[in-house]
Parts: sequence; C-alpha cells; structure tokens
Amino acid sequence: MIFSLIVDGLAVGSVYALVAVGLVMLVKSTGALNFAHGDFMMISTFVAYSLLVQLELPFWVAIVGALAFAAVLGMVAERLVIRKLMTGPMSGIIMGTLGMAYILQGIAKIVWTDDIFKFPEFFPGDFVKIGSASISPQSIGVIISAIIIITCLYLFLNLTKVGTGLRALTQNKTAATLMGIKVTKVYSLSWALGGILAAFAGILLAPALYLSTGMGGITFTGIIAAIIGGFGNMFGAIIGGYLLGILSSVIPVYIPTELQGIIPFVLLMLVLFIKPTGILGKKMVKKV
Amino acid sequence: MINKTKNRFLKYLPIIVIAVYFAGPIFIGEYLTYLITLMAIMAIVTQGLNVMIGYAGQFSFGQPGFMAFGAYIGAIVVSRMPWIPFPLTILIVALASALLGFIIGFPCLRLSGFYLAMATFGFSSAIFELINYLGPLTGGNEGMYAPAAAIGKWKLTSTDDVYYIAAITVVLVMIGVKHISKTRTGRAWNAIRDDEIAASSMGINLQREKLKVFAFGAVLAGVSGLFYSYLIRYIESSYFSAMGLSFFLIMVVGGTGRVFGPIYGSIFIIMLPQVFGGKFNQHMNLVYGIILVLFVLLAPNGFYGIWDKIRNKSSVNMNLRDKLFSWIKRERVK
Repeated sequence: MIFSLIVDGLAVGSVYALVAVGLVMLVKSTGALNFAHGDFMMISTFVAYSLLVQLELPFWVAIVGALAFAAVLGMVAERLVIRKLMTGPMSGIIMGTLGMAYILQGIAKIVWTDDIFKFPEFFPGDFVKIGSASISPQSIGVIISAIIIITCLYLFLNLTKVGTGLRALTQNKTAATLMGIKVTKVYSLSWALGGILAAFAGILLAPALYLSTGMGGITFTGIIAAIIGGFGNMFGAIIGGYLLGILSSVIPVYIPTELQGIIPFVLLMLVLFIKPTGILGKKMVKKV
Repeated sequence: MINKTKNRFLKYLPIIVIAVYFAGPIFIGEYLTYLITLMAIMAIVTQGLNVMIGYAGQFSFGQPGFMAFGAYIGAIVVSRMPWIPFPLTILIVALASALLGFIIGFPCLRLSGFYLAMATFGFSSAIFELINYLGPLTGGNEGMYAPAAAIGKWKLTSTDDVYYIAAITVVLVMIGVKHISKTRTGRAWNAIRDDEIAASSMGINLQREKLKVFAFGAVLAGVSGLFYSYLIRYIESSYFSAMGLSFFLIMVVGGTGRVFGPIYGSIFIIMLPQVFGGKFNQHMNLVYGIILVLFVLLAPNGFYGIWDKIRNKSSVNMNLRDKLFSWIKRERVK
C-alpha cells in the first residue's frame, strides 16, 4: 500500500521536479520568478494534444512540435515582457508574469474551450506487481523519463559551451559579460529551456491528470517544491519536487480528504518558519 | 472675480458633496448604486494592498484570504448574535483581521521578495481550504447566508444602505492613508520599501513597522470583505479566491503607491465589463491579463504616471517612479 503510494508520489514528484528546476533556472539566469510557468506547460501540452489526437501525427512529431512551440513561447515572453521588467522592482515581474499566465489561459480557452480532455497514455501495459503492491507502467515511465530529461539538462549545462555560459551568468553577471558571453542570447536560451522543461512536465503529467485550461495552477506547487529544496539551487529543486510529490501522495492516507489541498502550503509554511533557505539552500547575507 | 467665485464655490463644496452623497442613490438607480458600492469595496481592499506594496514594499497575495476571513467572521458572529449593531460588527471584524494580520505577519517578518509572496499566497489558499473544511460553521462549499447590517430592529438590507456605509468608509480610508503617508510611520514604511538595511540603520524598528503594515492591509481587506458580504448577502469562498488578479490590476492601473490610485483603478475595472458587456465577460481574464501586462510594461505608474507624463510634472514619489521607469533607459548590457 505505502510502497505503491510512494511510487505514485515519485511519479508526480518527477513532474514537480521538472517544473521546479525550470523555475529555479529562470530565477537564477534572469532573476524572474515565472508565475506563468504552469500556463506555459498547459498550452504546450494542448499543442501536443492537438498534434497527436486532432492531426493524428506520429508520437515523436507531436512531442517535438510541442517542445518547439514551448521554446519559441519562452523566447517571445522573455523578449517582449521579461527583458524590460528584469531591471525593475520585483512586484513588476510578479505582475507581468501573472498577466502572461492569464493571457495564456484566455487564449487556451478560446482555442481549446473549457472542456476536459483525455490525453493518450505513452506507456501502456499491465500493472507491474512488486510484492503486494501493483504499480502502473505510466508511473514507471514518467519517473524514468524525468530522470533522463534531468540528466540531459545537467549534461547540457555542464558539457556544452552555451550551457557553461548560462552557468557563468547565474554566478556573476558582470564577470560573465567581461568574458565575452552574449548576455541577451543567454537570456533567450534560458527561457527557451524553461519552456521546454515546462512542456516536458506537461506531457508527462497530462496522461495521469486530465488535460484542462486550469492545469496552470501547478506553478505554485512548483514554486513550493523549489522553496522546500532551497531556492536558487537546482539539485534542491529536484529534491524538493520529489519530496513534495511523495508527501502529498502519502499524507492524505492519514488526514481527512477535504484537507488534501492544504498539504503543500502547510509544508511551505513549515519550511519557511523553520529553515527559510530550504534543504540545500545556503544562508544569504546581504552586505551593505 | 474668478477667485471670488472659486471661494464661494469652495464654501459650498462640502454641502454639495454631502448632498450628492445622500441624494445620489435616489437619482442613479439601483444598478449603478450597486456598481459604485462595488467600486468602493474594491478600492478599500486595493488601498490596503497599495499601502503594502506601493508604500512599504511588502508583496502580498494574501488580500483575498483576509477579505474572505472578514466576510466569514462577520457572518458567523452576527448569525450567532443577531443583536450586535453593525458598527460593532465592523469593529469586531477589524480587530479580528488585525489580529490575524499580526499572526500571519509575524512569521513573514524574516521573509522578503518571492518568499513573502509565496507565504502570503499559501496563507490565502489555506484560509479557503479551511473555510471549505469547516462545513458546520461556514457551510463549506455551498457557502453561507450573510446577515444584513442592522441596528436593533432597523435592518439595512437594500443596496443603498450598503452604499452609504461603503462610500463613507472609502472616504475615511483615503483621508487616513493620506494622513499616514505624512506621519513618522508612513515615512518609515517608505524607507523600508527603498532599502531595509538603510532603514534599520536609521533606527526604524523593521519588525514593528512590517507588522503594522500587515495588520493595516488585513484590516482594510477584512472590513471590505464584510461590506461585500452585506452587498451580495450570500458568500462562498470561491467568490473571494477568484478576485486575486483584480486587486493587482486595480492597483497597477490606478498607480502604485498613489493615494487615489485605487479609486481610479476600481472605476476602470468595474466599468470596463459594463461598457463592453456581453461577449466580453467570457474572455474577461484574457482582457485583464493583456491590460495588466500592457500597464506593467508601458505605464508602470498607471493613470497617474500617464497624467504626469502629459503634464511633464515631477512626481511626489520620485524614488519609486525612477525605479519603475528605469527600463525605459534600456541600459543594454553589451
């Protein structure tokens, strides 16, 4: 019982981890917390759905198409909105990205209506029996895909020249600029990457959850996962995502079902009160 | 001659204002009165948010939560004890909201920026979940009937009555905020917004001032939640949770950190669907999102900023304005 719940939690947690990693990467590279991240995810998943089900394209074409759409969306958002708000106060970024979230939701409502769609499963098959627990192949597929995606991201950031540039920028903007890194290009790149990560998360989440325009609410869960793990640390975000996934899958066994929705927020409050820097976060001291 | 006329006009101004205030609802009809009351309610909440963000730089997603709290506390208390006159209800709600503001504000003291935003958002969501969970007390998902304002046997059930209460409160709130911005507290809040470390080194008690700001925002939100429950008479937690974006929109459109900004903002936001009507309502969130992004990008100081640009007059709030407009200079990093 508990074991299969934990596996389910790991599957949901993989999605949270992907969302949280995307959010943290954007915060580290451009200093903007993207409140529209979940809606990037939602609209890219709808694009994948349209390509896959309505246009009946092959599976990999639909995924590549959705990822390309997400990357372009991220770059457009960065160029039109974020680059102008980046230097301003934080409230401007929050409200700009919130506005984007509502715009994307509105567009999705016009194009795909308010209905709920069933997204086809990628990993069909029978339930796998391990001991007394039965685990759906979907969960296992999601967990493995998320690990592959995160590994690819890690390799990209560490082995390619562009990735190294992005990491340099997150550490010290001035020094990175002096080393000849084209900052604006790296900004675009990081938002494109953020969009791609969001699209991956959506495509992995959609078969388990029905597809609807309200999916964007996952932004907040992703932010909570990132805070739990330690904001500004990508490994922390991954750990936070998995932890949140497991806890929100296991805890509902012990509490009334009406209070399920409150779990992420209670965890957030606990982390913020006990150790606001999160599990892996370093203490930040502001020097004058 | 002109001066004399002006003086004479000024002499009669209070009488005119009071006459318009009392006679207004009789002439403009019930629906317009309803809209004006709604504007007043929105302006009161947003003024709290405006003080928190625009004056003190403390970001908050918590306003809908405080508003729901105020509405439900008022409804629960009055439905148990119907003899309570409404001024006392307002006082009870204000005190309860202030207390909750302190309780929420205290752990938030250590937080700033995105952390603060998320903590207040978490609080707000928790309030809604609790309202739905505490069914016997609040009616849960189905909502609850909110008793009307009453003094003794005299019940204030019509829209006009709520209008009188809300309109006078909004004026008092505006005067109060205008006054606070000139006092020691107001200046301390501005200092915290501009630089926390500098403010604390100048001898400002950061914790106390931040708690004050939280309580202030909470009281305004709670009281306006109570008025909202008087107006619509039936409350559900989803009414309040759907309002989150409107407050930011009203604040930005009116002009962040300006005393009368929330009034202009709420007039704009409430009248917009009325003017366009029909099809507009289906895609309201899309239009609101577009307006919010356009304002944040092109006119970050709202109508006030546009007005200032037209008159080319230097603003009182130079510091915030400079910060907000800094992107115009487009300092490109090469």
